[in-house]
Amino acid sequence: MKLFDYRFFSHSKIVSGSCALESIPAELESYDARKPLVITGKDITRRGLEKKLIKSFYDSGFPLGGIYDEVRDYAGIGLAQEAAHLFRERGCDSLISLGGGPVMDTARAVNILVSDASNDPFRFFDGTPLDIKMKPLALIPTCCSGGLEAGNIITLDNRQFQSDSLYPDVIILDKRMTPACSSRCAAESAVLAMDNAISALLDNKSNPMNDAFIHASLQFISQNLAKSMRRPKNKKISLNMANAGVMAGIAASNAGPGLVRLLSEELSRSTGLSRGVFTAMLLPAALVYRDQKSGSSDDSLLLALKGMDVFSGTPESKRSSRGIESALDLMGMTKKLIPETLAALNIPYYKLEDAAEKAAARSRKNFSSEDCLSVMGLSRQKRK
Amino acid sequence: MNINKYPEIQPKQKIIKKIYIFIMLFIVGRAIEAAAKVDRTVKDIFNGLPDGFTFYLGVNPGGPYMVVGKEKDGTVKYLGWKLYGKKISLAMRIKNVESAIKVFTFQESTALAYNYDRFIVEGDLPRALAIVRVLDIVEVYLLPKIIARLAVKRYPHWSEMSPMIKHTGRIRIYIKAFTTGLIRVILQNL
Repeated sequence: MKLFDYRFFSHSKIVSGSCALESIPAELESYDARKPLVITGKDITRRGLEKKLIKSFYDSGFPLGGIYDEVRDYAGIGLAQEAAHLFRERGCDSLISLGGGPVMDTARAVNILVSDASNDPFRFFDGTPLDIKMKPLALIPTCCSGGLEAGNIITLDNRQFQSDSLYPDVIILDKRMTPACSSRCAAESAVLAMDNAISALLDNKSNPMNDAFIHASLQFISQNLAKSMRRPKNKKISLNMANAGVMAGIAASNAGPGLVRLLSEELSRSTGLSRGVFTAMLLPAALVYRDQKSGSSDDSLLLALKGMDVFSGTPESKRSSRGIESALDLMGMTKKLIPETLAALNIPYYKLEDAAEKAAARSRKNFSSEDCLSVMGLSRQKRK
Repeated sequence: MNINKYPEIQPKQKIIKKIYIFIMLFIVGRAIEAAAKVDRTVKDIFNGLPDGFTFYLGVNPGGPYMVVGKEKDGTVKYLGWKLYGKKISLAMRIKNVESAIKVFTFQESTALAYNYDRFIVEGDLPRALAIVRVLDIVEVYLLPKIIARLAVKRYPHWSEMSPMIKHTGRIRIYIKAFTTGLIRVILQNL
């Protein structure tokens, strides 16, 4: 049964569809901002996406303070300080993040640097509340999503903190920006969105508002996952998946961090492989482990993935297992693109142990390192 | 750090699209003035608005605009494309040129564009909806059925607007729009 004593917060205005990019100047104007700095990555400029953004500003009367495109796979304080220097020199008053996870994290760090006089963003990582007035921040998600761009979490130099001030003010979902660069990228983004949604759904803090986001997100994913891997450059499908990713990200920000997210972050940090790969391996194992361990029935997964018709046509006693089966089926679609089991990666055991301990330490006692090791053990076995 | 590596980018202009929108607004503005004399429904809608009521439809930022006003004697006049010196009661602005192009190339109807949050309305919302109804009727007169069906919320059935009335109204509106007072408007706005 869902709790009705809850807190749900989603600050961002979401603009999706055709002409969404062209609406950025109007949205920034509503925050009294007229000169944004664009933070993006080399892979984005290589694909020419920044040119589409520049074109969308034609006739707006809003100059772009510059396009800082130095972000790669890692968000670090050095890059953020450089971009903050550019922001101040050019007299910018707002930020646009064009890209995936590291780009958004860098934009958030720049925002803290230019909004806070102390010039020390790490004091917020150490527990100081982020109660400063931030500059307007617009997010334009592209392919290779990190899953949490639309949320309220920042990862900078492998340190993380969460604050409601970190939500982007506007999220622009435009089909010119969302097509994936490859099928693998589409699969990894989808898997991360699925993990965010499923972890939030099965979280103890789950509430009806969050469920609304999760159900819509999972519905989009189950309808579009196979198509998005087959046709990663299709604009309509990629826009649906981007919508699903944003909704799942907001839902995850309103729930506690799940085992799969924390463990995949730690594994990704220690091995250098992308988080999507580990999530694809660990999520099915985590679902099976949760089912084996708790034994309690949770039918919400079936309802979210299959809809009311299938849900009402399934006997009550079988809804929980059918829900897990449906999720595993969905995850199974990524088999061809992402290594299926953890064994395929040949990661030394001490690294797995280390990751399990770190993940358990970050989980605020929601799960133990033994739980993490058991999940990793299950994910070493080949899926049926 | 060399900041010149990341140059400031000034936005360019979309001149051709703006000229197209300007022409469309000019024709629609003149047609509203003509339709207020020809069509009973348009006349009734304007009768419901107060004397001295002036509205404009335009594109953010900086135009083009179409200003239409109801004078003290009740006649409806297209007042041109300049906002300067006019007391505006209702402002309807399309958020950007691309959205305006979608509306004026009839890819989206005015009602659908409202639904997609493409408009900014400053003023009385019921009056804005009355103006949208006027725009729909004017588009039915101005455009052939195959295009007008895309531009309006619901194309009127023959029982609501008989083909006879439609075609004679269309001829009268076109003649009035391009004859009476055309020179006056152009001279006033130059």
